[in-house]
Amino acid sequence: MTYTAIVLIAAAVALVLDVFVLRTRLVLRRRYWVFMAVMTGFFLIVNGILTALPIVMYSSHAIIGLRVVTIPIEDFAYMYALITPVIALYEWFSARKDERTQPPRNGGQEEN
Amino acid sequence: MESYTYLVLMALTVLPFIVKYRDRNMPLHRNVRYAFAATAIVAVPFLVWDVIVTEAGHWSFSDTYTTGITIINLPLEEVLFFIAVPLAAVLVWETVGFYLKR
Repeated sequence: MTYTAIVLIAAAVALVLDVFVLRTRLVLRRRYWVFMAVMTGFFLIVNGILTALPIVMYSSHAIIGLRVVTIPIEDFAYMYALITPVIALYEWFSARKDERTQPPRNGGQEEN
Repeated sequence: MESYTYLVLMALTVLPFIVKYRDRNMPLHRNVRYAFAATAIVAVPFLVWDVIVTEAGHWSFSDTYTTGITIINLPLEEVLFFIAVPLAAVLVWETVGFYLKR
């Protein structure tokens, strides 16, 4: 399998985790999209450095070859696949703790 | 000096988290253990993926910009990536939450 194929599977797994497994449903929240916009900014800097110097070199056989400046397009999906489960798990753990310590004020729904 | 490039990049990535995680304006100071738990859980499959495809040649790492310390077949810096980036992401998440609620 190529990086392209694996990263698409990973992104799908991240989406399923968020929506169906942990039911954090980050992708339906405005806060998540503001977060992703900010993360994309940092990603362009850090991944830009990684791929421009380069610190990480990709095999032309593993990627489709589409790049944003020096960043393979696959890396955008990689960022999504890595970061989404982290925030979903973080929110899931935090929500479970809040349930144990206090009754939900608004039916357990977050405002943003 | 340039052999520290990737290491310094990861240190700078995690630095804001280290400076701000105790900030009482965000719930992070109460939930920091969950940030570490989420990071650890997600790091495992990504490290397995990384080890396998590095071996398979999907990508490789510069000898110039890494210290030369390796864990299995990954530079130490690449392993630290899966700690630094998730923790930085949690800080961004909490910071965005703070500004949206304000």
